[in-house]
Amino acid sequence: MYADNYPWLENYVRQNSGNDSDAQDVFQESIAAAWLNLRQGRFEGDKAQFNAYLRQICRYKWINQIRSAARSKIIYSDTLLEQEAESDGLEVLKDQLQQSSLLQECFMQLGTKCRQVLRLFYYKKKPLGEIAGSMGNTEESIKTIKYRCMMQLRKLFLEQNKRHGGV
Amino acid sequence: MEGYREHIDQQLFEQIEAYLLHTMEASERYRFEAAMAADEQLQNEVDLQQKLIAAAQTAFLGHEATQHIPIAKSKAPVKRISFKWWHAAAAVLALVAATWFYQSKTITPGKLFAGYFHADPGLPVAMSSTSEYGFYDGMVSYKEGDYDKAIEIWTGLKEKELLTDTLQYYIGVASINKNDFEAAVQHLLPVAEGKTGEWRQKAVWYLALAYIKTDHIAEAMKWLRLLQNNSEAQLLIKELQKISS
Repeated sequence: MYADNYPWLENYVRQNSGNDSDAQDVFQESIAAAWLNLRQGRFEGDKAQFNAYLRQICRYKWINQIRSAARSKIIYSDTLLEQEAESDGLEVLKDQLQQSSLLQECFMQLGTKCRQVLRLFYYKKKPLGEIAGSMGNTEESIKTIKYRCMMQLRKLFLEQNKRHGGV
Repeated sequence: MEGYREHIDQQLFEQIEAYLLHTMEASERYRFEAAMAADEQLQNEVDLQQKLIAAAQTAFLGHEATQHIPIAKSKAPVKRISFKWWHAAAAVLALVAATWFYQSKTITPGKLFAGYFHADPGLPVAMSSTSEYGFYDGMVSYKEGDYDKAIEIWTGLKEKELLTDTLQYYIGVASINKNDFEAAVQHLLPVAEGKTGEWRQKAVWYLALAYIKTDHIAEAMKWLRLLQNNSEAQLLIKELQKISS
């Protein structure tokens, strides 16, 4: 996925007032958002369509970024403006990205131990027994910690989403 | 919280989790899906938990996956530094190395290699359940500094004729990281010889470094001359000219 899209993004950002470091940031945020939407069933399609979707997110994020802050003085290139005008479903995408961003913010509000347990179980896909061994706990206590952490995340997300007008 | 339950007990949480992670028995899955169809709140809870699990997974795609980079060739426990700092650190190291080499009367290919080499950080580890699983599985090992394991996984893909420039390139840089320069040249050369391709420039750089380390200075300079827009490469050529003159 990286190999398919990152060189494209690097060129795109370079041609539109950015540098490689900007491209790296945009890519990290976009790939996380795209995958989150994929996992939530908000995207259906094959690999090529997913790449197109990811690139749409990248473009959207970069346009937003150069539009804000000190970069607002930059004159958009014709190509960039054309691409922005042609972006379909921009509002839908914007909503999806806001929710993805909110979910990630909530996750980062969890304590270190919570993030560590959830990382090992859901991201690294480690068995509970192995996690328990590496953290000096019993398997049963790790299971309970995981449950409590997920409930904490659930509470944070529901509260903050309600505040943002969702749910 | 309209549409959601007041409280989810641990048993229900684990049941939903088993459904989402596909660890539920087929018969239980059938019953669970029937229960969801009859209970909108339960369906909402399943959707919500799916979002939360995805958040736990994607948080690391955007952060941890690319921010921790092993230091190549270290026999001590792998040191990890942030990606952005790695760029800065690499630039500073190159500058320090260049200054030192200018002042030193004993420039050797080994010293030049040590001064200019910085390990490729690898790719972000993305999706784990796609056709690219094998590649990313290898990338996890690469990022953990287990280059033997990474090469073993990627070579397995190669045997299945799934070899691409990306694979060739990463087998090459993993070989450099484990000081197997012969293998590095073997894998990087075809990528560097390609007329186009996103990995070509990087392959040329690491190929040149592998040649330097093995004292093939003329060959290294030949490749470095292709990197006309790379100031680090141009500086390295000057250093090599001192050795070869």
